[in-house]
Parts: sequence; C-alpha cells; structure tokens
Amino acid sequence: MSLPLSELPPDTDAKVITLDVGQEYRRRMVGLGLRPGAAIRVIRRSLLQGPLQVRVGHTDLILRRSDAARILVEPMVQIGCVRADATRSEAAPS
Amino acid sequence: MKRIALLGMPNTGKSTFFNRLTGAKARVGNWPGLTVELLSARVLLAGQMVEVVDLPGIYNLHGFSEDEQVVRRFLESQPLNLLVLILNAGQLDRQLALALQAQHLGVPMVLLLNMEDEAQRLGLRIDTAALKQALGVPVRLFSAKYGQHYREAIEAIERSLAAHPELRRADKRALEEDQHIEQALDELVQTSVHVPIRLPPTLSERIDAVLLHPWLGPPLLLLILFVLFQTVYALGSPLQDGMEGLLGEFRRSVLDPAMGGLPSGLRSFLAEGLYDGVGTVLTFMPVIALFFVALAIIEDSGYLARIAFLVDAIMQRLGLDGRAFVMQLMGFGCNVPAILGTRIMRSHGLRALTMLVIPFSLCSARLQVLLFITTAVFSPSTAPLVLLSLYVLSILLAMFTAFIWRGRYANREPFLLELPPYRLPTLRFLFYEGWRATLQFLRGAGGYIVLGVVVVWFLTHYPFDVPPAGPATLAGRLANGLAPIFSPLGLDSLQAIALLFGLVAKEVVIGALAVIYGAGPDQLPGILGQRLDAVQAMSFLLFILIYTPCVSTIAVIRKESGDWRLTLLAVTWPLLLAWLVSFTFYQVARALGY
Repeated sequence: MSLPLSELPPDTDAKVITLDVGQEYRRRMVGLGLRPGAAIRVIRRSLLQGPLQVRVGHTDLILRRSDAARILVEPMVQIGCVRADATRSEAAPS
Repeated sequence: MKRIALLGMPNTGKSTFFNRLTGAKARVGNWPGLTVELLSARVLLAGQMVEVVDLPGIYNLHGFSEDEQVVRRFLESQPLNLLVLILNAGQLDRQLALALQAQHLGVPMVLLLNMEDEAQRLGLRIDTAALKQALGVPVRLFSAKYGQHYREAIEAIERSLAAHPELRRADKRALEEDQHIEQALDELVQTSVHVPIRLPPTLSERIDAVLLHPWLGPPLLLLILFVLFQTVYALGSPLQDGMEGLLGEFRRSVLDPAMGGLPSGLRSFLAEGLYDGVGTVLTFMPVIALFFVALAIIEDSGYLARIAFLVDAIMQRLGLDGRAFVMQLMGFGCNVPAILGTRIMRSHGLRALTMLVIPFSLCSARLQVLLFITTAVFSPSTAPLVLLSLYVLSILLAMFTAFIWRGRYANREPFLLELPPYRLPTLRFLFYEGWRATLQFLRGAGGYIVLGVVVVWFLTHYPFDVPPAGPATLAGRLANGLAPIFSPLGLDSLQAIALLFGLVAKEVVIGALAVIYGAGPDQLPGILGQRLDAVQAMSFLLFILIYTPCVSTIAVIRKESGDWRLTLLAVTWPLLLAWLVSFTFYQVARALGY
C-alpha cells in the first residue's frame, strides 16, 4: 500500500517506490541517494505547507511538498494507523 | 597530431570526463610496448585535432600493480603535449600525492579537481590559487557528472595546449625514483584545503530541534541574522568612517595644494569627479569584506540550508527562495554586498529576480536621508510612524516586484538541498573569503562606479563658470525640463537636482540640498521645514525610498548579471514605481484636503 511522500507522517520508516519527477530533478535525487528502494523517513515539516526534511540513509535532505507529492513511498508499518496519523500531523507539524 | 593523456586515481570520474569530452568516438587501441589496450579518441580542441588517451586509474606513480606499470611504461614511451591530472576534490588529502609525483615528470600538466558538488557537500573549501602556486600548473574545479564549470576546465586544457605545441617525453628518472612526499603532501593540503570541523550528528539533531522548531525557528532566524548583520555594520561603519576621514585628509593636505595651479574645471573633475569616485569604491571595501565573512559563516556552518527550510513556504510563492531572503535582509544594511552575495545561487533566473528585488531594501544610506528629512519636517510623535510606514512599504514593494517579474525571471533550479551536519568554519578560510570578495569587487565593479560618479559630477558641474548644482548647470536644465513630471508629485526642480545627486550615493542628497539652498547643515532642517509641507515631504520621502538605486548598486548589478537589459530594468522599474507611488499619494492626499 503506497502513498505520496508528502503524506507520510513524520518519524515513519518507509521505502521509496517510484520517482515521478523530471529527468534533471531525478538525477539530482539519485545523486543524493534518493532512489527507488531507498529507506526514507520524514523528520519534520516546515510551517505553511513549506518543505519537508527527510532522511535517506545518513543524509538529510529538504524538498518541497509539491515535489514530494510525486514520490511514492511504502510505509514499513501498519497502514491503518498511518492513515489516521497522516491527517492529524498535517495540522500539527513536529 | 597533438596528444594528451588523462591520469587519475580510480573512481575520480576520469572516465566520466573522458566520455563527456570525446562523446561516443572512443576506440580501444594497442600501444607499442604495452600489453593492455587503452581507450583513446580524437577530438577537436581549440581548432585542432587532439588525441586523448584515458590511462588506467592508479593510486601511485611508483606502485607495482599491473595498471601502475602500464601507466609508467606509457609515459616513458609516448611523448605528450599535455598531461591532464584528474583528482577527486572530496579526497584531496590523499589524492594530491599523485599531483606531487606527476609534477616532476617534466610534462606540461593541467590539474582538474572533479566532483566539485561532492566537495561542497562535505563543506570543503579548496583554494585553487594556492594549489596553482604550489604546483605551478593551471588548476580548475568542476563536476564531470553535472557539467558544472566543465567549460572552464576545457578552456584550461585548450590554453595549455596552445602554450605547449611540442611533444615531450616524461623524465625517466622521475618515474623510477620514489620521492618522499609525505611532508610536502601535508603542507600542500594544509595550505589549499580548508576542512571545517563537523559537529557530531546527534548534536546537530539537538540544535535542529530548536533552530528548526516550527514556532521557535523563524524568530530565532531573524534574531541570528539581525545580530550577525548588526555586527557587520558595528565593525564596518567605523572602518568606513575612518576610510572617509583618511580620504578627506589626503584631499585637504595633498591633493588640493598640489592642484592649485590647474584650471578650475579640471580641478573640479579631478577632485569631485575622479577622486570622489575612487573614494566611493574604497569606502565600500570594509563592509564588503565583513559581509562576505558573515555570509561564509552562514553558508559553511550549514545554517543557510536551514534558512531555506524555514522561509521557503513564503519565498516560493514569490518565485524566490531562502537564499534570496538572506540577501534581501542584508540589503537593509547596504545593497551592494547583498547583490554580490547572490553569487551563491546557480539559477540565472533566480539570481536576476533577487537582484531586482534587493534595491527595495531600505539601505542605511537612504535611512540617513529619510531620517534627516523626517525629523526636519514632522513632529517627534509623527516621525517614527512615518519611518515605520516607509519600512513596511519597502518590504511590500519588494514582494510586489518579485511577484510581477517572477515569470520573466523564473527559477528553474530544482529545490533539493542537503541539510549537512553543523560545522565550524575555519578562521583562515573566513579571512580568505573576505579578501577574495573584496578583490573581485574592486576589479569587477570599481570601474563602473567611478564612471557613474564622474557622469553625475559632469551633469551637476557643467558649465564650470556657473555655481555647481545651480539651475544653470546641465542638471538644473534637465530638472527644469522634467518639471512637468515632478510638479504632480509636489516637488520643484531644486529637489529634483538633489535626487539626481542621490544617484552617486543616497546619503549625498542631504549635502546636495545644503549646496542647492546655500545653507549650512545646521540651517537645512529649518529651510526644509519651510519649503515642504507634510504632504510634499512625504511625497519626497516616498520618491527617495523607491527611486533608482545608487550607481554603485547599478554597477554591481551590471557586472554580476552581465545583462544590460536587466540593468536597464533595475534602473527604470524602481523609477516608475517611485513616480506612481508618490503621484498617487500626493494627489490623493491633496484631493482629501490635506
């Protein structure tokens, strides 16, 4: 069960499934370790629909939510509670 | 035919560079005396066919692995025009050993430091000038993978090829003797690579928990930048004043007496045109050096990426990003270093848009003028409100400008930044950075600034037999001609001349007003109070706040962007806005009966 990275709640381990971004952006992502199969987690979200801080391996990256929406990830934990979390943490970023 | 060979350690991106340079033309060839085959290709460099050979990656010129022997035999037997040594910029601490060994081969060499992006990620700063000096060969930093500064790397190769038309064979002794280079390597790395101290990741995370906190982060950001920039000006202003004092002293005691016999027109040109122009450039130096030290602290500590995280939500909607935010705040001190600071942006559109927006930041020079006029005309209780409204307006206009022009100067750089662990930048690098930026400013924009000051001097002093800045000068006649434009703003031609003076440097407006009204600085507030009522004064203030930036700012925009159209826009757009805002304010206020 996969969902966009932009909706992955903070502190949930997930795996990158697909990167649906342009050639240039994809190259940058892969160069920084953000590639299909990589383990990823959201560390925090910025206010006002600002960027996400994500951790891929030992690297912390920031990317915009609109771009994160085009990255599909699969959480490694139970889906049901993730869904509930996702709606809650939108309002209260940590 | 000319021949160059690529030498480097394994995994330095040597093959990536080779492929980029030669396209798909590579072929595998046998070389006399070599048992293995080497990849080579013919490419056109600076109008000549050149054979490029990709040597196997080796760790040591004197090693005994098969690849190392192959390289040695190749260098012994095949004469070359140029050896291109490619090292990984992120691992110079050990890879420079190969450069020290190759240095003694007696073959012309170019040193290319690949993976510039990787070095940046690690926070390494590489002093290519120091490397060039120590090794005596051209040095270029680039990225074979992303093509960043690839052109410069190729140009360095082409220039060296042109300088060394003859084929040369490597010195056999240098290949056989294993020099002791450990100490030399240590020294070379010491002087050319600045390695910041990285804080451990757990500590970084704890700092981030505070600095990136949703509610604490933004106010802390403003506080940090405020303190940093205040420090820049607290240290810079006395230096700037000292520089001005020295320049004035030199003029009084040396320049003026020396020019006693010259005709007055020439004397005025030398003193008020040329000398003041050079003086303007020099007085910028301390603040530029200090600002770049501050900027290097923000960037190298890893905080710049955090700023982007905190403010991107707002800046993105304006077509800008977090770096633009830092520069714009900096612009409230002085626009010139802020525009120079846009160098940290790679996207052309983003840089151009930021340069267009920065001049709306109310710089300290304009603040002096606005303060002076405000206190002269308004009561102590209204004056702070007037100033506050000017500050708010400058921010709104900056946002409006970004909003209007974000389509024309679009930011196409994908937003994906690494948040590195916090680092402590090395002091030596900070000094180096300040010094480098100052030199670049002098070389780059210095000439334009002097030119701009001389042009305004000419307008306000020609013809030489009439009082300077008077109605009979070119500027006076120009202002008279512009009267239909300025009278709907409630301004007369004398004030228009003062505005023209303000192009040299905004703080000059006060001095110019004093000259124009023939008053000393102590009488000027009284005269302004009589000449301007509150509505006229406000209209004047609005115009001063918004109109065309000073020549130094324009010169730096021209130099940094290399774009005359952008420069023209940076001149005309604020002028247009200034007129519209002043006009609207003045007419509406009068219509309401004030």
